[in-house]
Amino acid sequence: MIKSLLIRNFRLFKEIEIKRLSRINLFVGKNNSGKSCLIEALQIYATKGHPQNLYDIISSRDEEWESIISDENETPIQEVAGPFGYLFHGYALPGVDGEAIEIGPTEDSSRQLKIALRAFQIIEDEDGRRRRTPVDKNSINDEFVDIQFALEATQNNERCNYVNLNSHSSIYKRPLYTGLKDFNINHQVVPTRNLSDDKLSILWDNINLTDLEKEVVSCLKIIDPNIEGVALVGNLSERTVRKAKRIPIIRYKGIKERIPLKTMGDGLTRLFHIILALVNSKNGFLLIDEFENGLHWSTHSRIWDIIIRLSEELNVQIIATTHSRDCIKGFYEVWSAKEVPASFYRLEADPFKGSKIINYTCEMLSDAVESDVEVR
Amino acid sequence: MGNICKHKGKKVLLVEGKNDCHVVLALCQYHSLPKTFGIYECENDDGLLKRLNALIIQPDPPEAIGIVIDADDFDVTGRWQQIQHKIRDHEYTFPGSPDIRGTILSDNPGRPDLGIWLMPNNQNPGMLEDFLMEMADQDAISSAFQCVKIAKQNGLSSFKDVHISKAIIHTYLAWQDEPGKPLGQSITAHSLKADTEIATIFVGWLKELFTL
Repeated sequence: MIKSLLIRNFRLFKEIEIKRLSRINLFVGKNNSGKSCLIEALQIYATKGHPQNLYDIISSRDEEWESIISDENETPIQEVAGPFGYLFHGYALPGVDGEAIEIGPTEDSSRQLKIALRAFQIIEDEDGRRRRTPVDKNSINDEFVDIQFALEATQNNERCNYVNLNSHSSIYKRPLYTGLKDFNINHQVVPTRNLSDDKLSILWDNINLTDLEKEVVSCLKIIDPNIEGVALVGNLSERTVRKAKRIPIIRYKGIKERIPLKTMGDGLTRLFHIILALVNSKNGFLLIDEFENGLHWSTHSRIWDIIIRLSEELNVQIIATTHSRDCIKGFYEVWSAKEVPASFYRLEADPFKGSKIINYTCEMLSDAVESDVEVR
Repeated sequence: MGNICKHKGKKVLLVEGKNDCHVVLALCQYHSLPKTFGIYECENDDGLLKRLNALIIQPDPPEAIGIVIDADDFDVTGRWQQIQHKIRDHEYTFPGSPDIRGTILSDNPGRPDLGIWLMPNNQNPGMLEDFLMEMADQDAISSAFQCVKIAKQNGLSSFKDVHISKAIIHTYLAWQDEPGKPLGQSITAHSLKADTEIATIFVGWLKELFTL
């Protein structure tokens, strides 16, 4: 659980500070106010800047396009801004040892993750092992032939991850150096467009035949009480086994044949993804971008109710975004009825800091919902 | 054409009910105030305070919000503290007691300017009708008062004690030209005088708050 959050120099955020994060956190804001950036920042924090995660974040926004067409490019790394430059505020890589991306709790600087551009030289030691030795930015000159530029992620001055920048794009994906991997924070992300089929399979298998499977099914019953069970099966219409993806199917009361979950509509699919991600986030984070997608207004408060209960039982911290007034209303109903440790914020564009945060108390949110005043 | 008492804009005056709305409109018309602000009636005091709390931090908040709220049978300090408590998280600095010429809080950067008028006069308990009594012909209002008192003594009335000023003002309006005009129209028809001291102070507060 992270109790406060400071983000510097990351995408839209020049600097943003959330003084108090609760176990359940809902964010609203107009387009381009930084909601998705916030989710990305927490992913990076949870993976300690793992190269695969950085690359996934970049490619999910099509930001790798330039690196694919300029594979043979030999110009110095600072001149080729993309694709990792997109992660920095101002969409450009800083200079060597320049301003770092910082993400972490405000009150504990030893847990803040820093990602900065560094220069290294590959040097063979006495035993013939090739090692990276840091090169100070002032001593970089034309005489260094095999200088290597990399993004280095550190926490408490210890390197956690390392992304080599002057290589072909495919190399970006390969973790060249993985540090203290076991300290990664368990987390799941439910993007706007739901989980990938592969991810869904993994998450399902992870809880299959456990009590958590029952939770998932009982949650789906919120939307349709006639659902009796769920399974994931191979799609037999695929031509090769390798390509075959698995799809969720359900058993429905009164119907002999099993039917694909998607037949039942977008709401059930969304809920299935959210709950499956939640029960897989034990002791970690659940990040949900655009919570409401596909969900009917009348179901929101019941869904929040179950999410809040599970998050307590499994010790999951939830950070969700929404555009929907119904989602906000459902959230507020549960928040004000029970003493739930929750927070509600609005992100707003700010001419100086890129983005700023407005924190609502439960009373403020309740007053706004009841007097029909806009909060988004 | 939207409801004139449901204005949403950059300069807004929150009032408790429709009567308050029409009284303010009539006063503005009499004093020829430019139409740079609008009025929103919140149905009751509770709704007014909730709307105030929410408007202060809505996206693109108003530049200035005024509230006209009855002091009721609170002593004025009680109502004053209630307002202060409602918006405690928005970091306004309240003086110990309301300004008798209407309070304006304008030194809160990033937040709307806030004007507060406690009916009738920022000092006494009471409501809109007490304010209006000050605008009536004083001899006539005394007679109306006697009239109400006699009705009450003889067991002919059923109004609650807190509503005595409502009873008096409507008795007064019953014997003006076109008996029984609504409150706002009575100002327009000059049965209630819009240039009495209290009305002038009120209009001065509106002008300053909305920088007219």
